[in-house]
Amino acid sequence: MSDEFNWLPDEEEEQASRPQRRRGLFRFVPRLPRLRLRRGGGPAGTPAAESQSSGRRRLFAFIPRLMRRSRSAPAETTAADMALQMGERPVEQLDERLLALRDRAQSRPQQEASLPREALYDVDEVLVRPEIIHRPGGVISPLAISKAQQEQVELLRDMVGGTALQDDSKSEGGLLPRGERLFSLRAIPHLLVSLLLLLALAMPFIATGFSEGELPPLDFHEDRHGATTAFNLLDNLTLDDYVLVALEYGPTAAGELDELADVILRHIFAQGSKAIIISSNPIAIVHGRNVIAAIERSVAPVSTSLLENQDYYLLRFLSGGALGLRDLSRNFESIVSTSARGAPTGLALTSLDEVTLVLLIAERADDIRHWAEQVATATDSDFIAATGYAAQPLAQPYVDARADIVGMFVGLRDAYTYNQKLQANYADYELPPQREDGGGDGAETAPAATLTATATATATATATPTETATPTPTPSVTPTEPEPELVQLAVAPAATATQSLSPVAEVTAPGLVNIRRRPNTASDILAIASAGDTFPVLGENGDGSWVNIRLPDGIEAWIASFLVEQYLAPVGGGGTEDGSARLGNGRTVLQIGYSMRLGKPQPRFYQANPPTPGDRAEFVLLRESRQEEERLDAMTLGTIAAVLVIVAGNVFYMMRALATRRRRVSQRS
Amino acid sequence: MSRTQRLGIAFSAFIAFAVGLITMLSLLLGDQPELYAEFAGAPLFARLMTLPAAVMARLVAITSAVTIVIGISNLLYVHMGRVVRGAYFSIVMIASFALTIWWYWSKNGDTSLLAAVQVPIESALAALLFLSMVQGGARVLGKRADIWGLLFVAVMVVVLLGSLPIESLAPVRVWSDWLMEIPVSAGARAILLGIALGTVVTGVRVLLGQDRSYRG
Repeated sequence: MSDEFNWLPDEEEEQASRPQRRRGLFRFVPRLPRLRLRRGGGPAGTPAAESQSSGRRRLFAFIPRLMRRSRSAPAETTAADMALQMGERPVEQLDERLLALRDRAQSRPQQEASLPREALYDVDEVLVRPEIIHRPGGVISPLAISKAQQEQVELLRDMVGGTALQDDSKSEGGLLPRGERLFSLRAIPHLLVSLLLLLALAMPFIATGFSEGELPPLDFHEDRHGATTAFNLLDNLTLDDYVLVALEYGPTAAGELDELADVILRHIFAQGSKAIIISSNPIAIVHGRNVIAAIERSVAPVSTSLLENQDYYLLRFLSGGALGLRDLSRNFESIVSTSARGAPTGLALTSLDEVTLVLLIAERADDIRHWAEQVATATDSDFIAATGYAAQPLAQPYVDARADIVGMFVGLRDAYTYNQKLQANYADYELPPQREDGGGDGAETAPAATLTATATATATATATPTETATPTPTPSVTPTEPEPELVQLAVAPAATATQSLSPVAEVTAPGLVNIRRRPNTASDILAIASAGDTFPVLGENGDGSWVNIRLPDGIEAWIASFLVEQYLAPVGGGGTEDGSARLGNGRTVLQIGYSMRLGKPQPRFYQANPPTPGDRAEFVLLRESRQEEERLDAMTLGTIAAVLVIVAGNVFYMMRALATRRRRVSQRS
Repeated sequence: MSRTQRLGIAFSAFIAFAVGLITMLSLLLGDQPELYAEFAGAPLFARLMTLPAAVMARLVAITSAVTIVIGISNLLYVHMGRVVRGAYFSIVMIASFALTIWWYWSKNGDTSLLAAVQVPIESALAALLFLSMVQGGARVLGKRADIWGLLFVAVMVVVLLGSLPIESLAPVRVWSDWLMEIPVSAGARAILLGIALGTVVTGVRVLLGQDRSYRG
């Protein structure tokens, strides 16, 4: 261990080595290996050596020379060794403390053999299981250090003149070490400050109407961070526009940045555009699913749930940090083809330029820098950034200096302003009528909604609305319970209308289901359906595991029987009009095309009945901002309390310091 | 150091140099080699550069993903070892890991644990950081009662007051904005310049074989 301190040279060695050292500015220039390539391989002057000065010979001659150099100067193989050598100072330039430290280190007995200075000489200790010394501490996990660490601690204590570490592991059996108390009177100021701040932060949530200061403005200031331009870009999104939404924040910043993500995603959905959510943080991808789920819950009373790989796309996370982002810009088509669950997304985007907007919501300024350098430079699409208050001071100058970043939103205040501006833009739209099943998880309640529509369309009094409006408990999973009622309700009104009946299959499984060309899972996917979609039934396969159906464009296809519920429905009176398929929410069945990719035909989906702007205004109109206002009030009150605490605390401590100084002066005098 | 080790070091330095050179050349050429079609011989050269660069970026991404798996495995291994040696608090970590995995699979990808546990805990930690910073801010002049301490506290108070949405504090907001736009912006740019220069220097050292990346 003492060899570690031998780099402090003796005076004689220093004098001897001084002429060789570089001075001035050249001292900081790293020493590059000088490649002195001799002409020829033989002794100088011989004709044979002069004639063999080819490039190949030079190259082969270089390798053993490099080996010799590395052998002769092993201390320069690592940056740490070079730093040690460049950091040498004469002994007389050391101050007293360092001289004492050096003397003490040299006076230590040589207890250990010198360690071999291998490139990774300390790896052995990591690989070998260390001997652990237990030291019971407080409530948290007891401190456990290895024997080598213990020896290093003892060495350090010995060198700096400290006392030896006392083994108090057997002193007491309690949770706290000897001499430590659970509570100290010195903690009272800390406790009071914490209580004051907590009270100020919690007050807006406890007492209604308790607010201080003004709420943020209803519109962005002119050209502030380009926020108005960024908002207008999002407001000009149209159907089938794709927005690459990068969520680069973790749970720590979720309280602040979730509001921004929420309001911007709602805006995107309301415009009928599609959000492609991506991140280089795996937690952010999972959290993005929670943000989407919260949006779905808020619009559930009037709208169907958002569909993954149709309304939004959750891609797998980008590993590798900045290089992962570089990978995104270079291999965009490949990355967007796989979802976070490892399933194909069906996206047929081939380059970043096909994305209308790139929106980055980042927790750190470094993330903005990485995205701007690795992604924004690789696309002509507009780039918008959003971040929190903590990152703004570092992010702002960078965003201002880059012309390819259109604008930036900051924190909860801009989320509030964004929402107010958005609400004003959608003030003319009306909410769609409330769903009679009361919302909830669309997949489970979809059969009930279909029943209601069927009964009302036949306009007969036999169908009782109270029964049909009652959500049936997951008929797709337990078909034996609701099946008799389903058949009865569908048949009875049809009989009164004297219409012909035809078998139909209604999708009851949650999520998206595949419709295939042949009755096996290896067959091509022809379409994708979701709960509520109803298709005319043409027949079944031999064992009844697959149902032959007709798609809206007349193509015959197959769907697994456990995914659907079959019953009789009137032709032309409702249900499947004219024998064609009826789509549950008007937008879930996707027709299919093919695009050649990587030499193979890949399925390409598009919506059969895409929504129009305004059809989905509920995403904006049903957003509540009450909690946002409470948070803003809490921020204001918390900041006021913090200023008071800082000012009062510093005045108190300054007065005490002055009094102490005055007392010392009087004592000296 | 044995001969084999030295050869390995030289070989790894050569690999780093070659990969770095190809990547930098591809950055110079851009992502669309067809733009260089008007130059004789340039498209082939551009393709030769850009394709390996794209493959290498993908290799780095895949390797990074594998390292996460290795990290998780190592974390579990270390904590299992701690449990064997008597550190029973590590059981909480292992149980939490197993619970999260089980919950995700059994609940069909439900991520409510993240929303109900992870987000509140990390938000609470951020709030504790706020409390600690205010505590520290209140004790600055107790530790250092000189002109620099006073200046620090004054700037802190001005910036905090300037962030308050109160109209009567508009004059303070002018000072606050100036502080944020001039000194803070200058400091931020200096930090960014420092990061950039440090990155360049480290990159050059790695490429020249004089240093090793922290990734090994």
